[in-house]
Formats: sequence, structure tokens, C-alpha cells
Amino acid sequence: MFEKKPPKVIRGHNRNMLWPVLGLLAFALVFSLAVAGIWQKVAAEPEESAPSVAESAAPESSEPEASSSEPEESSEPEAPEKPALPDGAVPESERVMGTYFDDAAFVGDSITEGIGLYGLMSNTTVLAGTSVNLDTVYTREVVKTEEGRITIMDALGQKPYAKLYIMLGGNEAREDTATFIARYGKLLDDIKALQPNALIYVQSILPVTPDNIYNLDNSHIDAFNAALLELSKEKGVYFVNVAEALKNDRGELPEEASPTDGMHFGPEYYTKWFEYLKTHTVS
Amino acid sequence: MKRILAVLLASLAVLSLAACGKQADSGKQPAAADVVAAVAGGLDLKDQMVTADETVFYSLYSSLDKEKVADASMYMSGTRSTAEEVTVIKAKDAADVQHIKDAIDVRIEDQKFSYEDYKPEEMTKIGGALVLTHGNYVLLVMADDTSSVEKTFEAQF
Repeated sequence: MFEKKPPKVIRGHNRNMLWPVLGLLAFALVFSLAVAGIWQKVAAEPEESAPSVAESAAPESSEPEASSSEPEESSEPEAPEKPALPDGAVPESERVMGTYFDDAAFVGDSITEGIGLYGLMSNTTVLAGTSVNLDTVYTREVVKTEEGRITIMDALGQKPYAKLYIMLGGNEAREDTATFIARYGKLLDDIKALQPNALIYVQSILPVTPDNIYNLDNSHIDAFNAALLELSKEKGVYFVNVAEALKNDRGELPEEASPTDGMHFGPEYYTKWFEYLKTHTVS
Repeated sequence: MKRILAVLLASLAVLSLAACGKQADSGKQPAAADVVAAVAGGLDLKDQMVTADETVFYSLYSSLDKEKVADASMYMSGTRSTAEEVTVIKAKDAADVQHIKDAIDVRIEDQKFSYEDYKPEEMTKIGGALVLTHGNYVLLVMADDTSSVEKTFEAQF
């Protein structure tokens, strides 16, 4: 007899569809992984832009001309004749180029250390460090060399410089003038022995703001500077009154020059300092 | 039709998941100067700061081998009255990152030498110097309050 069979639900097509679905999903997976893989590769490809160390905006101050017109280049071993001592501080002279300082060394404390920071005198030598004074110039190893740290006096003993610019005493303009001058005088004797052919410039001690944190007083600094002028004449070295380039008409460092401590200043005042040096040379 | 639609939707889902997964590491290689600017911007720096030029940078980081440096930027006190500094150095190679960190350690020691007798109050900044790395980038910060630094630094990448 014909049994009424239940209508065969043809599930075949469902079962058949399973594999294509799985297949398509697998394909989608592979496809998307491939896309992602390529994407990541492409994203990593553009390397960083041209590597460059931060360079300051200020270009080297060396102008096209070579060294200034000096009557003598004091790099020769024989003692050349040095320009005559002016009557007081070095007077204003024809402006020299930044290259004038290529064969110079600047000796001093933290203020002098700042010279290197602004690229103003990129080829000059700076022999300076924090806490350098008339004593520690002999003992504090602030100068870094290939062999390690050495003192400023040792550095001065290593190679000749055509010009030396000294600025010391800022940390000491409190003690009595006579002791200060005696110590400074001894230092000048020692420096002259190490650098007999150099033109030595003693720079005046720079002014401070009225409320500087070091309890320094501008009138006291002025007294020291007057004594330094006399000492320089006595020792046959040049006194260059850089302080006047930074003073306002009250004889002080302007407040805005040194908001942090009343003594240390920024690029604008270093520029003033160097402008003064460029216009007050002896050669 | 329904099934084809289902397949398409499924592919779309898988595709977008894969794409999202790769975006977590954007692979950004910012300029050192930009990282410095961002980090410094989040700090309350008191000093008149300057960006050191190349010569000054290498003389202050005297133990650093120029050949190992891909990019660098140094933002520092322009007056020497504080030890404030934000510096970023990027190594050319991951293998050189340790060398960079060693050079930074030398810099910190130099600053200790400079400031311990001169301005002892700066020793807090120097002693609390923050050194962070991300990939080939090494960051040094010496400042009063460096709490914002890590977040800002990481946000550059």
C-alpha cells in the first residue's frame, strides 16, 4: 500500500549551502587579513622625515670676510708687539667681525658659560663653569676634554690663544676690594705666564638688578671695576668695560633682563655684550 | 539572497575587525623637536629657555655618538640660572637606545656637578630627572613638576 510519506522536505539545499557559506567566510577572513597586512606595511613605509638635530635659527655670525685687519697676528711663537695700552678702558673702535673671536678664549663663571649657547660666537673657545671664582679657576675641573675634565688654568696651559677675555669676580664682589685685587693680580700674573703672546682683556664685572637674589650691590661692583681698571694698567693688560653695554641709566641691569635671579640674562643681553666687544678692540 | 547578504555582512565584519586591529599602533615617527615642544608646553618652566644648536648639543652631550642619532632636540635654560631641560633623542636603531640612555645619564651627572655647589636648590630637578622611552625615542625632562610628562609624551605616538 502506498503509505503517505511525509513530504520530503528537501533540506539538501540547506546542507549544500553550509559549505559555500563557510567557504566564503574563510575567504573573507583571508582577504581581510591580507588587506590589513598590506595596509600596515604601507603605513610603516614612509620613514621619518629627514633626520636633523635641532638647529638654532641664528646662523653663524661669521661673515664672508676673513679675519679683521690686525696689524699683527699673535699666533707666532716670537713675542709680537702688542698694541699700546689705552689710557683707561679700551675705547670704541672699528667694528670687527665675529671671526675676530675665532682664536680667542673666554674665561669665567656661569655667565661666561652662556656664551656657547647662542651661537653668537660659534668658533670661540669657552673655558668656564658654574662656581668658578678667583680660587676655583685653579681647582674646579669645568673644562671637558677628550681625556676628561680639567681646570681652566690647565686648559690655558694646553694651547696658545691670540686673545683672552676674562670675566671673574661676579661671585666675589662683596669682600674688601684690596683682597680681591691682590687675588686677581696673582691670577693675571699666572695667566700671562701661561699665555705670554695673548692679548689679554679684563672685562668689567657685569651689573645686577636691584633685587638680585645674591645680595650684590651695583655701587660695590662699580668700585671693584674701578680697581680692576687700575690693576689692568699695572699688569699691562686691556680693560674692556662691557658692563656699560648692559646698564640702564640708573647703572643697573634692567629687571626684565633677569627675571629669575637678577644676575643671569638671556640671548638679547648676550648680543648686547658681544656687540660691545666687537666695537671695543685694541687691534 | 538572504544568505548572500549574510555572507557579505559577515565579510564586512571580519574586514573591519582586522583593519581596526592594526590601527592601535599608528607607527608615527614624530620629529624630536615636535615632541619636545609638546612636552615643554605642558610644563611650567620658569627660565628663559632656548633650543640648543647642533654644536652646543653635542658638546653638552659629549658622550653621545653622533652616528647613532637619527634626530634630536634640546630645549634648555638659556641663562644657566636653572637646570630646566627637555630633550628628545631618537636612536637610528633600537639597539642604540641604551647608548642614548647612557649619554643622558652622563648629562645628568654633569648637571649635578654644575649645580650642587652653585645652586643646590636645582638638585631637586636634577635628582628627579625623568627619562622615558618609546620605541627608538628617549626623553629627558628636568623640571619642578613632571607629572604631566608621561601622558603628553605617549600622546605623540
